Amino acid sequence: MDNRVLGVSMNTRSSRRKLVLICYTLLGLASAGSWLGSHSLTWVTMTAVYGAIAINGLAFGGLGFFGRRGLVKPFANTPPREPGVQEELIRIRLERVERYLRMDDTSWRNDERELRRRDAVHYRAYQPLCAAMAIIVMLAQCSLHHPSWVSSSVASVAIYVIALPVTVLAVTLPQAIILWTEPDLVEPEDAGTREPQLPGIGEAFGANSKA
Amino acid sequence: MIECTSFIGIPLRTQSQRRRLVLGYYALLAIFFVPLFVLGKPILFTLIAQTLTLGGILGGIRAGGPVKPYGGGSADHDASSLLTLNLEGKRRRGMSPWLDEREQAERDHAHYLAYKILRWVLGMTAVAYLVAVQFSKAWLEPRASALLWMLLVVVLGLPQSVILWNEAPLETECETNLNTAATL
Repeated sequence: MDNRVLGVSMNTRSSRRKLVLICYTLLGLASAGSWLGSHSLTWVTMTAVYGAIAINGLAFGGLGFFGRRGLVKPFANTPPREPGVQEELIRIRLERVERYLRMDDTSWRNDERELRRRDAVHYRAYQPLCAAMAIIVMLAQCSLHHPSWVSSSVASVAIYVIALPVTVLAVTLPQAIILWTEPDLVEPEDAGTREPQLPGIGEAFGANSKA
Repeated sequence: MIECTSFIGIPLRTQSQRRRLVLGYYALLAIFFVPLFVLGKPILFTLIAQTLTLGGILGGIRAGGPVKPYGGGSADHDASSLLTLNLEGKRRRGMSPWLDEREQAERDHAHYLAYKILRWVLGMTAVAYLVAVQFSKAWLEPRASALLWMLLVVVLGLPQSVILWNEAPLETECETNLNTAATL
């Protein structure tokens, strides 16, 4: 995980959770603002969908929109696109050393644990998606065949109110779950200075030295 | 992850047989879906029954299909003393074993692939619907619920289809012994 968003460190779980909440709140406010400004569902939908894509690209990551700037490594686990030949020929004169260094760069790659985590969060994210789809189908059916239960105008509003967050979540939920649940990261310098915490062994040695 | 070597008389031993089952499953969905879409008059309670039956026919979300049920705890729960000694009472007949670690990984990976497919399917369907509505709104709008129902069944069945499609050919004990003997 590249652990900075707008210069703010995202090493702790609490900061990542705040980021997730802020992103969804901003998206909600932007959608509400576009409704108040235009009174057009098309604008609201576009704000929500493009907003979700922007959040993914700039903060969450995972899907690789707008390059690879988000916190979560791209799920596809493929190397970044190589620059074109023309660009490469210019760069080769200027940055010969950097080119060779870049060849060894494997920071894009998800390790085995990250791949397992990616798959597991998709399993978790799939279930609310199914539930939301089921609710939408039920509402549509009720409005069509039993208008006395749910009138078609109420049902269409309800379906829209459910479908829009579902669309946003379909794009962002797995990344949000990863950011929400991943434990605190230890900075490399911290890891170097910290002594290993082995209370059992430490106590045993302490007991021996006292003896 | 595959629970049985045959399902309603269809053998599931090789990958091609399982892939044929998946194709048959989607053909079955089309058989149910096309008249429903053309008529545009699905009945709510029939639809619920059809959703549960068709969505879970390949297993996964319910027991009895070729794919083991996803639900339940981890493999270590199976090894707990309570279950071994059967202090929980009479075991339910046909209860599937818990998924082991490899199967859980397989299940999760299938959901990852299904999610990836689904993003495209949902996006393309939404775009196709919006384009089609411009041309024939009066015909299409009452059929939107049938389309949604179809999507729901596809969403429910997709991870199981992915598992059946990708699972490597099963090796019988006899074949394993023969392979071991050959290597020796």
